Amino acid sequence: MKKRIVNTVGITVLCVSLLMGCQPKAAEDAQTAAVPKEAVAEAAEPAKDAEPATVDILQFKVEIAEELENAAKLYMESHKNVTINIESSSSYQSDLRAKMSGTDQPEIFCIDGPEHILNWGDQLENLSDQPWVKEVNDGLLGAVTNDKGIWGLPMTIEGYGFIYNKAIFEAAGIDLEAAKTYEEVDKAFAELKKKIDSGELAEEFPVLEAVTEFPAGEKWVGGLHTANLVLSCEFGSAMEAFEAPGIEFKYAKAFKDLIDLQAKYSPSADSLDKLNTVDYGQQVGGGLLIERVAVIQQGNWITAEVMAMDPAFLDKLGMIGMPVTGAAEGKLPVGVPTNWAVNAKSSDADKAAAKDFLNWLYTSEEGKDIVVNKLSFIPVMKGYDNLTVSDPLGKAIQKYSAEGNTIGWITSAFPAGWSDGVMGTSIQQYLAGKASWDDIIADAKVQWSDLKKK
Amino acid sequence: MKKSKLTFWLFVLPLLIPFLMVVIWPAVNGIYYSLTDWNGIGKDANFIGLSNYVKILTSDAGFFSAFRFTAIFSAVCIVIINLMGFCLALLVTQKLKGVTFMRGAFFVPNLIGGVLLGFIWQFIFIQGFEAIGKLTGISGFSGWLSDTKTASIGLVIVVVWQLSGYMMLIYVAQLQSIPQSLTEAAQIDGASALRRLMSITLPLMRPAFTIGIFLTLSHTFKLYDQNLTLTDGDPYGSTEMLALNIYNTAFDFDRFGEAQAKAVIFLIIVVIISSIQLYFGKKKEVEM
Repeated sequence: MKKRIVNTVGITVLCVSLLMGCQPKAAEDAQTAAVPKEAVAEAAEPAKDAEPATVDILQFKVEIAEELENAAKLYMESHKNVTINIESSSSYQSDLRAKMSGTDQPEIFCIDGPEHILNWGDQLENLSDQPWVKEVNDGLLGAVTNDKGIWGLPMTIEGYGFIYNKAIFEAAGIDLEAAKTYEEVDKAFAELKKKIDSGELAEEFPVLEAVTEFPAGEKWVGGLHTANLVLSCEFGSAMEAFEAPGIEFKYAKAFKDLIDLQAKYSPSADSLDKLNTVDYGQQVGGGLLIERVAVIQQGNWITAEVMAMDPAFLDKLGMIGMPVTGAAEGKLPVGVPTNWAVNAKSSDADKAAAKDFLNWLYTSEEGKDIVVNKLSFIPVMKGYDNLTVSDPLGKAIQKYSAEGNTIGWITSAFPAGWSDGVMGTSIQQYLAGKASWDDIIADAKVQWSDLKKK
Repeated sequence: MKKSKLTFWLFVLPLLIPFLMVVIWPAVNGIYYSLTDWNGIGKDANFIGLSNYVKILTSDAGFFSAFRFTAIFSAVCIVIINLMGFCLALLVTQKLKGVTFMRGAFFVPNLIGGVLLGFIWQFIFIQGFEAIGKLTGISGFSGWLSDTKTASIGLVIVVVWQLSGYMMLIYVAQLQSIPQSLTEAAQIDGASALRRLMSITLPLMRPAFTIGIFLTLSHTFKLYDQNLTLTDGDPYGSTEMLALNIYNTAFDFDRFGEAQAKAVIFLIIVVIISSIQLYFGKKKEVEM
C-alpha cells in the first residue's frame, strides 16, 4: 500500500512537472514582452517612432507573394522597429476566419466589397483620414465606402478577357483584335482551327493543338468571371446587385455561347467532360505559354507568371474583350479585385505601422516603383505619371479604360459560395452532359435567392 | 479507502481536464451553434431551434448524395483494405528473403501526409494515365478524374494504397501471437494449408479484424484530405464526401450553423455504425 502511494505521488509529480514545463518560459516571455511597453510608456515622445510593431499581412494573391515580401524587406530596412510577416494563402477566406477567431489576427487583410464590410463590421479600421484617400482615382473606392467611412485601399485594377498569342494569329493571317461580336470571334477561332487541323502551322508552332483551353476544374473561371461578365451587364453596379433580391439572368444565352465557344475549340472538344479536370496550370503554364493553345480566358494577373517563365513571351500577348451578345461587345471587364483593410482590433502601434506601410507602398517613390514594376499592378491613384505600365496586358486594360469600353466587376455582390459551389459546379455538370443549360440557369437563380436570404 | 479515492483522482485529473477542455466543451459548443444561424464571421448568432436539422433532413440533396457516396465508398474501402492488409500480412510473415524490407515498403505510403498523397495521385491520374493512354492507344486510361465512376475508383485506389500497409502491421502482430504449437499440431494431424488458415488462423485473428475494420471504417468515413486534394468533389460535386460537404457548407457558403448541424448528424451516424460494428465484432471473437 505504502509503495503504491509513493508511486502515485511520484508519477503525479512527474506529470505535473511535465505540464509545468512550459510554464516558466511563457512567464519569461510575458515578462520580457512587458518590459519594453513600460519602457516606452515612461520614455518621452521622440522614442515613439522606435516602438516595436509587428504587421502580419494575410492576402490571397499568391502570384505577388515574392515581390510583396521583397517590398516588405525594403520597408523594414528603413523602419527598423517594424517587423512585417506576409502570408499568402490560396485558401484565404477560411484562413482569415480561423485567424480572426483566434489571437493571431493579421493587421492587414483583404476585403472585396459590401458583403465583407457587412461581415467584418467592427473589425475594420476606418481609413478615411489616410493621406492616399484624396489621390485615389474616381469611382475606385465605391465598393469600400459607406456612410460611416472608407474601409479599404484598392489594391490594383485588373481586367480579363480573351488573352491570345499574337504570333499565332499573325502566322495564320487572322486579325483577332478587330473581332468584336460573337460571330466575328467565332469565325476567327474557326479559321484558326482549320489551319491548325490542316497542319499549316505545325512547323512554326509544333505543340499547338487547339485554339482555346477552358479550365472547368477551376470553378472560378466560369462561375465567377464569365458569370460576372453577363451579370454585370444585367446590373449597373455591385451595390445594385447586392441590394437586388434575385437575378434574372437576362444574358443566359450569351453566357452559354461563351462557355460553348471555349469548349468547342478546346483540345477536348470530342469529350467535353475532360475539361472538368483542366486546371489553371494546364491552361496558363501548360497551355498558352508553351503555345499548345492560342487563346485563353484569363486576366492581366498572369503577367507575373509569364515574367517568371520568359519575360520576352509577354510581348506576344494581346487581350480582347469577350462578347456578351446584345449587351457588351468589344468591352473589357475592369475592376478592383480586392482592397487592403487594416484590423481595428490590433494594438495602436501595430495599426500605425500597418497604415504607414500601405501609405509608403502606394505613395512613396520607392513604393510606386514596386507597385508598377515589381507587383505589376495598374495604379489606382494619381501621381504615377512618370511610371508607365510596361506589360501588354496592362496596356490593353488602360487602352480599353481610356476609350470607356469597360464593364464593371460585381463579383463582390455575389452571395458567398454561389460562384464556385453553384455556378462553377453547374458548368461542370453541363460540360459532362448531365444537365441542360436551361436547368443549370434555373437552378443558379433559385440558389442565388436562397443564399441571399442566409 | 479514502487514500485510494485520492489516488483515483490524482490519476484521472491530469487527463480529465484536457479531455473536458478539448473534447467535451467544443462538442457542447458545437451543438449549441448547430441551433443557430451563425455565418461563421459576425457576432450575431440567432437561436433558431431545430430548423437547421429540419432543412438538412428534408431538403438538402447535396448532403444526402454525399452521405450515399461516403457509405458506398467506405464499404468498398473497408473490404479491400482489410483483405489487402491481411494478404500482405500473410505474405510478410512467410519465411522469404527480404520480408523486413517488404514490411517497410508496404508501410511507407502511410507515412506520407494525406494532402501530398492526393496531389501526387492527381498528377498520376491526370498526366500519367493520360500519357499511358496516348502511348498504348487504350482510351480507358484517359480522363480518369473527369468521370464520376473512375474518379471514385481513383479515390479508392489512393486510400487502399495508403491504409493497406497500416492494417498489415496490425495483422502481422496478431499473426505472430498465434502459437506455433496449434498450427504444428494441425499439420501433424494432416490438415492442409488452407484448412489451417480457415480453422485456426482466421478464428484467432478475430480481435485484429475487429480493430482493423473499426480503424478503416472510421478513417474512410471521415476521409477529408485525399478527397479534397484528389478530386475536390469534382466532377460536379459527385465525389463529395460528408466531411468535405460539411467544410464547404461552413467555409464556402458561410453557413456555420448549418454545417455544425450536419457535423452533429455525422457524429451520430459514425457513432452508431462503429458501435454496431464493434458489438458484433467482439461477439464473434473466440477465446483461446
